[in-house]
Amino acid sequence: MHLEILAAQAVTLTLWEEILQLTLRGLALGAIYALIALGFVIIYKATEVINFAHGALMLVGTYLTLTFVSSMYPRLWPISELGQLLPFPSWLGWWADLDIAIRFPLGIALAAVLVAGLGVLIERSVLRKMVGRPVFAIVLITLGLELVLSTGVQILWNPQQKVMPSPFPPGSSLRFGNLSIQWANVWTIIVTALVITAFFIFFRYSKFGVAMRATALDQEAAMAMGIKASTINGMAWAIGGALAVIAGALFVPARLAGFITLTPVRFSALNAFPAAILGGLDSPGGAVVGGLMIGIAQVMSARWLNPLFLEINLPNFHTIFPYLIMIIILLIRPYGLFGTPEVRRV
Amino acid sequence: MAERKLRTTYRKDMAVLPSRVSRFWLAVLVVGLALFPFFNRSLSASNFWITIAITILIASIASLGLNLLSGFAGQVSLGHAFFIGIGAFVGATVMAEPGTARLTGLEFYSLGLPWWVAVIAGGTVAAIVGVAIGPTAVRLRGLYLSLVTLALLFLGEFLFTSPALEKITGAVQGRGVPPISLVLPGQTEAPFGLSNSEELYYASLIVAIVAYVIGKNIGRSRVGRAFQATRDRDIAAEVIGVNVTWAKLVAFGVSSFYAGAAGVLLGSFLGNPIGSSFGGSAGLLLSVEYVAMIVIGGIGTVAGAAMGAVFVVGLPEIVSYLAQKGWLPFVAEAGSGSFDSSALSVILFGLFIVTFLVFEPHGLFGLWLRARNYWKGWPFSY
Repeated sequence: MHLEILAAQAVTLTLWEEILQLTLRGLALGAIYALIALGFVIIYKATEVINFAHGALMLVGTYLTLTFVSSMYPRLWPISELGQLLPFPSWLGWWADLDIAIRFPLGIALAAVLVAGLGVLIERSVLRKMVGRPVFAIVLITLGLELVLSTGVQILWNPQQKVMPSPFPPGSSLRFGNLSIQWANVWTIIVTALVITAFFIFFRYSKFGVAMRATALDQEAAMAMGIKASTINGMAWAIGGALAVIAGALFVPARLAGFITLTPVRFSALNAFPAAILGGLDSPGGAVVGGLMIGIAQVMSARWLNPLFLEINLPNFHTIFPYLIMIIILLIRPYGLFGTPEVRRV
Repeated sequence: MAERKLRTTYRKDMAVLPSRVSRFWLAVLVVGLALFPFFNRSLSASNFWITIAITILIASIASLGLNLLSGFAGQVSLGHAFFIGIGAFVGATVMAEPGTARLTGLEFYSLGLPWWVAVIAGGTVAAIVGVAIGPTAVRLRGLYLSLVTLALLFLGEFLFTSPALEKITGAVQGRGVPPISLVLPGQTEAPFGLSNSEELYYASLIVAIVAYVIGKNIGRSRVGRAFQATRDRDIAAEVIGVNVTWAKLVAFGVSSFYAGAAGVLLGSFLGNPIGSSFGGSAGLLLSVEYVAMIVIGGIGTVAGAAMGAVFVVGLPEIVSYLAQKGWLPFVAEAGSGSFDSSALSVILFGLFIVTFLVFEPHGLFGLWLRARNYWKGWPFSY
């Protein structure tokens, strides 16, 4: 998966330079995990739903971004011709003429808005009916939604590999001294930092952010103060969906060199579950820290632990390292590093 | 549940076969299943039907295991495919003739024992692994647990495909599993001239019957009541003296045993199981298929597990049959377009999971009860 980390060590680095280099790459990977985990945690914190459809939301968002950025849209009618992609009609030609550096962020923003709407729709149409029902039924519902959404994307956009144009050409790197980091990764870190900062400012100071925190703390008391819990739940799904889209759109140029296929995008969200658990399922700050830690841990383990495990014939150790961390964390601190310890009342 | 006869004792209420009618229909079902291969020989597409029947039987064993864990004990597990994979490779190891080797000269671990030893061994190893991850299960409640079982899938892919276990799993290429043989000791041919797939059918049928008898009895005994108490309100269960830790461990063990036993049969059915199909993303989809079975069939019911297996195995076949007949003009031929019959059936699974959970949480089994009770009182509504 992330084998480019092992290759491309043309210049010999000192140990400290290498640690610094890998930390940077880990931060870039971790930034994406952080975005996914943050959306996941917000949905959990507001609605207590473990959202297994998060990867599917990310998939929908990534393919919508692809549509807006590459100016190729999927046919919706007739049904027998689903899966064909057509160029935008001529009256939208001005969009295709826009510079990619403008089209890319605008495309992400449009896709984020649409997927936020999809999140609200899911919450309104399905999950609201499940309030008060057993938690495992709700978890299973999100699994069902995952199947529907992912297969829907597969049908509309067809499963063939596609190239997503992006403003950062693959292979071009920012260099300082012996260190190098791909531009896509640099931008991933910058964009994630901005998005997360914006989110926390919203969460902490805006009226809606305060309402969200109040509802998460005590739903009944919040409702008594005039906060509409249903609006808050819908908003959590909208924010979660939008964050998933941003993560997906950054994931493709940064990790897949601009090539989109269904499976890696769909299942990359699973790698962010350990991040959410590590930070604590109900802690947005924890999700960010957990995401960065898991990203760095995965990159570092690919460099330092993989050779050790390869000696005993166990290749690709870095793919399971985040899950091992997750299991260990769950055994020691089931509520994660920053989560609230569960107090159970009878 | 409306009943024609008033049940006056608890024993009658808990009976597996409460009435003569149910006894009759169960006998018809078992005899029908036992005679099916002989009837099937006269059909034109006999290979097709026996394949479907075997798939349903194997799926119904594994889905019963998952239903005991998720439906009865309330522990959501996405790691079912991992335990099925363990069963497949343990079964391969136990059944293969000693000296089985790959062309490259790599010699697999093989024991050359009969199939029923393999089924028990596969189940036991899977159960041991299931109980070994128990400490996490015990510390965690429902939601967190599903995430740990997710980790199992990736651990499974990592281990099944690693060269370190190549002599057991065949690493990335998988390993061959011999067909199940029902040849009795002292004879050279299978009884009644059974073909390979018919032998696998009968082996699966035997395992399925044993599994359902045991499953039904777990469900209505002390263990099953402990499971249900744990599921419904674990603190209250603890207060009335149910050992919740013990119940969760047993649920995991039993469920993994069922998955492992089904995995042995599945490995033999596939012929050459490959590790990556039981772990990672493929394993997740396989696990979700089993989740679909128990949700559609009926969560927390023994009969529902079988109904769900029939439905989930049958649906893609029905969809592809209708597509071949041209009755679904919008669906492309399998493999030719993006909207083919397999994509349609996956979408339908997803929609069925959501619809059943929202509108009929008891699944097909609940629908069946409702229909039956409606006609019992017809034309009166009660």
